[in-house]
Amino acid sequence: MLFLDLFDITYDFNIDKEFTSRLGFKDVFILGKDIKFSKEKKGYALGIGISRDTKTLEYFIQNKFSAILIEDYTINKKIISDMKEKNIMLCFSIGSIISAYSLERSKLIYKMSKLFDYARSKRINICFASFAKDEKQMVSKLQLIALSKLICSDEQYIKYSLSENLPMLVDTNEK
Amino acid sequence: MKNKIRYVLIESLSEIKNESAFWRFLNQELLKFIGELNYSNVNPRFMGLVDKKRFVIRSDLNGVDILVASLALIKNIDREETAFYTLKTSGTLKALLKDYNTYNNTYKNKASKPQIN
Repeated sequence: MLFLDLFDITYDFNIDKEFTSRLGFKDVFILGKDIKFSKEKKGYALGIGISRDTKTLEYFIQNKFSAILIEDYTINKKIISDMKEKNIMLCFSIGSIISAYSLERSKLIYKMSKLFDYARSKRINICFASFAKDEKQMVSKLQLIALSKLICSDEQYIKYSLSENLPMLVDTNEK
Repeated sequence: MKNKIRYVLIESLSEIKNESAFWRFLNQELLKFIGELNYSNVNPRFMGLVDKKRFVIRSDLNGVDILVASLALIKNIDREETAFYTLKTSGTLKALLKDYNTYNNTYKNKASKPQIN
């Protein structure tokens, strides 16, 4: 488990491949290119659905998106149980911790850790990624693991998630 | 009992102009994110610049995770926007810079190695 190939997901901006390999990732998947994503009630393709609206999240579940990012990280028991039924992954954006400020950041980490605990108790697959919008939000492999440890105390699970769960999103997309 | 330490190789997004001023501002930011109580566990020490963008910080083994996480959260140094990427951690300075040497052939002279205080 020590030398796993780790991956990351970012938004589309000018990413240098040499730079990402220096950060310790085998590959960085780009939203919109490698992985499809939607923020609205549009499309039915497999990909990541990003929203905080309950109805939009329900739409993502009904249309079998492969992963969902709940932007405000509130615990909605119905959404979580539906995700479990349809085997949909839950994403956590580490970049949102970086971009938040002071008390807002602390509240966000608290919400994320509570949602993580609940989702894990329901045995939902979880993926951590930076979802960086620019170079300043990018993090290295070590930083991504260290920041994920604020949410999940199990380092082995974080590494497993970064190495196994993230490529699954790309594979399902290509089918 | 001997304290176990870790050396951390960090890359900055922007170039570092003044070493002492840079460490003073970075230390202030680290203190803010680590917190006064945790600072003693981390015990960060600036080892030196490797080149214009990379530098080495020494930390206690217990606090290295906190150091790495807090470095990711720093976005400003002296009102200048920047970002820090932790490239590698190691128990010895030699092992830390081994990959860097093979990666960047410009770092060959012993004289240009970071000074251990």
